Amino acid sequence: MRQLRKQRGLTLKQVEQGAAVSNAYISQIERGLRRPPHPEILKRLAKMYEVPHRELLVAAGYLEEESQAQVERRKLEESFQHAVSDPKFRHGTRLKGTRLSLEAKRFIVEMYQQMTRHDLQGEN
Amino acid sequence: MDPVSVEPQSDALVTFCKDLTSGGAPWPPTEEMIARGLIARLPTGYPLTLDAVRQLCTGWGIAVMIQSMPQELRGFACSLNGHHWITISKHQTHPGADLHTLLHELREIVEHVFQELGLPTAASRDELEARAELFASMVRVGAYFPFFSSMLDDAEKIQSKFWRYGAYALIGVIGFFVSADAMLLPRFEDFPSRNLRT
Repeated sequence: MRQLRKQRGLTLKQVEQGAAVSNAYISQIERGLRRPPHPEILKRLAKMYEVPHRELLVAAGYLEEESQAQVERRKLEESFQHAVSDPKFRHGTRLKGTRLSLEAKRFIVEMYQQMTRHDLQGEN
Repeated sequence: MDPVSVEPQSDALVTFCKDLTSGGAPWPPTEEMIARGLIARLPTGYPLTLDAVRQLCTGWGIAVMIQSMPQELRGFACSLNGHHWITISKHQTHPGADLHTLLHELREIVEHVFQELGLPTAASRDELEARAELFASMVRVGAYFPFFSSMLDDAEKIQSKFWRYGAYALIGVIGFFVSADAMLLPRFEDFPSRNLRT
């Protein structure tokens, strides 16, 4: 935690103001004198330190570290959600079955990335 | 996935959509109206082929790719800033499903243009999927109308009453099978699974 704070060049006082957590408490956490803070506090600290909330939850022992496959799956889901929520990207599928597999989501993400790349090349 | 060079949409695609929006007809148009508009722009010749529709798409600036796709995807259409791509799976489960899928995806691209014009025809994705399925079936059936019409004209000229009615019956049977194939394909190709789209 201290390393993260130092990397961002933040003082304890600044974190206290930004995350609404007392500087004494943060200092104790950093020195390992307190139990891991509540996930809600970690959420605020993650925002201050510009790291994913999940990363701090894993470090605090609330969540288990993901396997490589889980990480890839989560990243793919995030990319898929990003693609399908882009209002400029309109799409439709003709499906057999009832749901999209990871492979199908990967396909859609790749199409999105290709189109976006193509669009950027066209602009330049 | 092969990178594809694709031209921006041509005026013809936008004109096609604008033609449907003009004329004072109630909005949204029926799928039959949209299908009729498309058939009028397709090259003549029977039966309606995948290549004929593909050519039309290319002329409209829509890139069409036929390639391996994840198992549950029959087709995929997407648009971004006036560029349109359609991908069709090369592993279709029923004869004619590739043409049906291409028409379905083409209808989705047409909808994307309607949306850009501020005149969507479907309120939800499910509604659009249902409309696209109907559109694909209607184009496949409608493309045969001039053919049946000319066959009926020819049959009318047959002197013998017996053979004339025989010809009518034959045309009727062919018409029935063409229509049944086009309208029931989504059920055939999905058997036994249900066909749901996102």
